[in-house]
Amino acid sequence: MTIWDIFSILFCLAGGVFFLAGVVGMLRFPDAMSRLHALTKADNLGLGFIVFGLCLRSLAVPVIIKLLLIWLTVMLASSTACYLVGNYILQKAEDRPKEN
Amino acid sequence: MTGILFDMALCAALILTGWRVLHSSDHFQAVVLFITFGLILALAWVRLEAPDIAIAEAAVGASLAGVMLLDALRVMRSAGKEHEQERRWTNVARLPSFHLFFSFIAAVVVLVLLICAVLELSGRQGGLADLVHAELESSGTKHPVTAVLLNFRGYDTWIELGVLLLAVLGILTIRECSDLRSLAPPVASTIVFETLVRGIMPLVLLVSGYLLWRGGFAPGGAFQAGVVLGAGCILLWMAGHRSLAMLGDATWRILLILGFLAFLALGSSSLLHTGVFLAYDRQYASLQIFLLESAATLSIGTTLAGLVLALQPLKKDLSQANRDVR
Amino acid sequence: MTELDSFLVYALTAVTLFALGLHSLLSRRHLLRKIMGLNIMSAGAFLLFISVAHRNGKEFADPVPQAMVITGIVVSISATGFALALARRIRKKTGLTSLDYREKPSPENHNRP
Repeated sequence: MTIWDIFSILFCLAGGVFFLAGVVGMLRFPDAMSRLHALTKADNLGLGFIVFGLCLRSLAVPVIIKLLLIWLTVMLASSTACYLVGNYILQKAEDRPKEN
Repeated sequence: MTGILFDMALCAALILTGWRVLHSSDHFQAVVLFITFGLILALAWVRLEAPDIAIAEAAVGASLAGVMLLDALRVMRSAGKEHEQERRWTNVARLPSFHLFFSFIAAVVVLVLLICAVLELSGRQGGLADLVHAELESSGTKHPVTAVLLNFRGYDTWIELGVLLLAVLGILTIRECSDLRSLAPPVASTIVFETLVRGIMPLVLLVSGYLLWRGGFAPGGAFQAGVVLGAGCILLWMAGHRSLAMLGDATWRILLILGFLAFLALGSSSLLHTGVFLAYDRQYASLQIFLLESAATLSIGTTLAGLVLALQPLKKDLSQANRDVR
Repeated sequence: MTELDSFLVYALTAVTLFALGLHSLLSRRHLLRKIMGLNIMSAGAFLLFISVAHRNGKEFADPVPQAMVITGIVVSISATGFALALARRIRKKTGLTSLDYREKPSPENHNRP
């Protein structure tokens, strides 16, 4: 086992911890907005750590480029999805008083 | 040892999610759990060393099926107009208990029989892996799954493209429309989503082409590429982009039948030359496979997008609704 | 031995999923649940197929069942799409969300499982 492997394992574990924190946050937080917060922030960071750990493991340029692209795409998609869900929640909250 | 523990945890998650999909009280929750089920299943495919299926499952089971079910749920939940004829309804909330009892017994009997079959199966050996590896050299591709799909069992793939075509024709018949132009144009979405889709569409095309190219020597191929393409088309529509709504009648039809037609053309030309349907010339096999795969990718992408988009509101329904409002 | 074990684990999961799907196909009333039950049944069938392929393959699962399952996944999604279109048509024409004609087409029924 080389020094790279040890670092890679450490980074992947750190990523796992962040994912776990995100899951706990999503299950325990009271309302949709704070759950969104837990999901997007913790998961993006966790995925980043795992991608970094895997980059250290492979150390080949094409693989690293692909991994970074995946990370970038997931971040873009998750922030947009977060915006859309948040927007929907705000709209519903605005609509509700009018109904009453 | 850790491997088998992971397998067991994965299987427990599969069964639990499957159970919750079918028996949770809320339909929306069930659909979301169904998407989760697809993702866990994709992980199981990776564990079973079938990465081709994992890619297809993640794209189909998790994204496309989710979009279809959520869309259907939205429509089926809405109050809509009540049926004019008021029959004498007897409001039966639950099925008769003998029906529940019967279905439970049937499921248990099937389960017991299947478990016996699995235990019987666990002693057997066999399979066609050796045969495929022996013939791989002559197939015109380096990836065994692509070789089976496009060469050894090309017939299956051809018929399967026919099934896809039939499904989309069936939906168009049910909807009483012939192409995407009779649908109401997509509603404009928020600027953030639109910008994301604008940025991500080139990447979708790149990934689709990459999967198609990669199918020649590694996991990937026409199906996965087609599914990614179809999902991209659906995203484009949802972001309110009008390019698909303006797709001409002829283009839409050609794209739909291209894959089926390519198999038919190559198959019948080989029938004329060699007397065998879909026999490849060894010299041109890789070129033929590439052409078939490209045509199949376009057709699968269009068909899968069509399965979702053809269910969107029609122009005539919208104008009807507007008249009703007035 | 470990390979045989993982075969048993996945194959038994597969048949359980099949039976679960069958049960809900027969006993649930809402058409969406029936369609999802059908999909879970097909997932069970695919899983059994590939667990056998995994045992028979060497460094890679047996490619013939793999190719068939890929074909099967695409066919099952198109069948699902068609079934959903039919279900939506039934909903539009009759106001019902199940095949039970005795059901009263009222909004509170549509959320019932």
